[in-house]
Amino acid sequence: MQRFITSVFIADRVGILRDVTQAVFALEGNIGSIRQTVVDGFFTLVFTSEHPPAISRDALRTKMSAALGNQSVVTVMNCPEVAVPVVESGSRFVVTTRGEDKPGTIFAITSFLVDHGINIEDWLVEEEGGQVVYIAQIVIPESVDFRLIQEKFRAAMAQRGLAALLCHENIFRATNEIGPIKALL
Amino acid sequence: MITRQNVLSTIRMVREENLDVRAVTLGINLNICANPDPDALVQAVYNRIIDKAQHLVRFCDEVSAKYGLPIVNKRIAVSPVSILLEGHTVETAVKVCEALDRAAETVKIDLLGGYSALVQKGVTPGERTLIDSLPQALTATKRVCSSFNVGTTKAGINVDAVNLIARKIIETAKASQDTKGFGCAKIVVFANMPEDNPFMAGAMLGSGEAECVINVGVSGPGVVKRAIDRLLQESPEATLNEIAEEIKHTAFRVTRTGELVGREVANRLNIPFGVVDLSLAPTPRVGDSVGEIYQSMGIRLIGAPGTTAAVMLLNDAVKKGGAFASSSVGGLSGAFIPVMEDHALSKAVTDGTLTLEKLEAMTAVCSVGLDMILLPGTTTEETIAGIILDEAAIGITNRKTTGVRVIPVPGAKLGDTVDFGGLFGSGVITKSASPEGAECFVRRGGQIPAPIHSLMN
Repeated sequence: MQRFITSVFIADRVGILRDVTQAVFALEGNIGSIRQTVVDGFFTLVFTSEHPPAISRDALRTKMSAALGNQSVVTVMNCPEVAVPVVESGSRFVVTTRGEDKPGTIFAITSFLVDHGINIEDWLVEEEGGQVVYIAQIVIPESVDFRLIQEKFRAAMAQRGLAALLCHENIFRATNEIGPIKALL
Repeated sequence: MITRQNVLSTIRMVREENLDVRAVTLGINLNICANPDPDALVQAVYNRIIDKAQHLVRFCDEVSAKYGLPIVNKRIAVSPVSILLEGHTVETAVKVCEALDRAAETVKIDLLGGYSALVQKGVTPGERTLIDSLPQALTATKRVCSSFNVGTTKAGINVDAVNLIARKIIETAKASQDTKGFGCAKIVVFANMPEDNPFMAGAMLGSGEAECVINVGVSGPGVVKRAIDRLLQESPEATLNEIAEEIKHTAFRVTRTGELVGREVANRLNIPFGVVDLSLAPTPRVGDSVGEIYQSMGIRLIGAPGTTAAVMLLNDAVKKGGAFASSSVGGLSGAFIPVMEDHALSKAVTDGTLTLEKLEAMTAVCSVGLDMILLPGTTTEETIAGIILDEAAIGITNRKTTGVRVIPVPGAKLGDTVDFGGLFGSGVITKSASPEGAECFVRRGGQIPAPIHSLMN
């Protein structure tokens, strides 16, 4: 079996995911990980799939493009069996910044994180009370002093007029999940 | 997967609604320190606390930073000191209390509880020594808190002990008159005293507890109030059962934060985690008040008929949410209505809508007791003994904890304002509708027998 990772980008309409999965199934594929969302009316999808050796990357891309029409953007790449971790070992934290919507804010946040060897795994944005809230799930390497990062991040964001928080993800899991707390530690 | 709503709602609780962990309390058994030599005893007590608690504040600060959640108080509760005082004098008792105070200062905690005795059936010589030492010990120290158990549902109420402690409360007030009787703010008298209470002034480590243990007191009055306010904004006609449901869900989340923090601190100290105490603990800050919750529920004037039902609804819902959130629930787990420490309650007492008698009625349902109440300087020991007896009677009959922490302020009269500052807050001198008239009953002493629990009515 061989493994591909595919991304799909297309104006949203009813039935896109059905069309995608139909194409994968037609090529004897089995979908593994999958993540889908809609951003400002555009459907975005990333998924991995396993296919028999006879199915090529081009075959999958052609099938998908045919199923979705010529307004779609489909990319297919080979996907290794085991993903190499970006950060060798680390803890998952959540970063939030809140403030006025200004150009360069995301660049400032991501630059700070990159400069400290921190990988961003997820990025969300929300508008609340007339302000923009950026929420990032990140992995801080074990070797990094998170309290130092926390203080520096707060100070750096404060200079841009942003209120920033950096907390371990367990506080959000504890307050929103129902499993035993012991399982989080 | 953590959703944006998960993140935003949790951050709102911390940043805007005063969610914090009110107390992380390290329990330490001191019994190993017992020694017939006074100096050796005093040194052993000091060394033991330093040894067990030296990393408490640092670990709490690290965990607090990790989760972005303030831990307001880091405290210590020791096993009842009276056990160590058998065969010792009042002078030694005061030295032990001073050693506790020094140790607390060294490990940077603000309060230490456990200068205590369990006297519900009788008073041993060591317990008598501790009680006799109260005026001197609590005036000579800043951080040590004292508590007593004078009654249980199984044993009844030890009226002799109540009278003795009431006398010492008066003497402590006089001994600390320079600080307006503040020594009495560090004395609580309980019935059915819990062994795992993390909150001061009544914290101590009971004999059924582990060698060392972390117990946590959650907070959250502000979070509960805002949850009710949001509900009523969306549904102005919400019924009381809908309000109870909202409180229950909020309490679930508050409790989970407490257990998360407590377990992590316990892991770092390499000791067991004990319990989360579900009591809603107010502070004098606006937005961190239990009284404000009653007002949000529709009690415009705290103390008006309906207030007791509001207390019951609130605490029952908190317990239901908390019990689902954690299997490690204990301590007091009741509504704190410390008048001085809650600006809304304090105002209600000042305005005259909330009386001592109404506060007592509230303790019959879910409240923990008459807490932080200022009395005139002329209050007699018989009046204080009567207040303790009434509270203890409510506790042992209802199989619940009740407590009394009253401060007879030397030289103060009805209506005077007293400010202790900080978490202890401020308030106005109040009194019972009929403060005198039960002296003969109180002075009879003896033991009020354990109540029967069949034929209930």
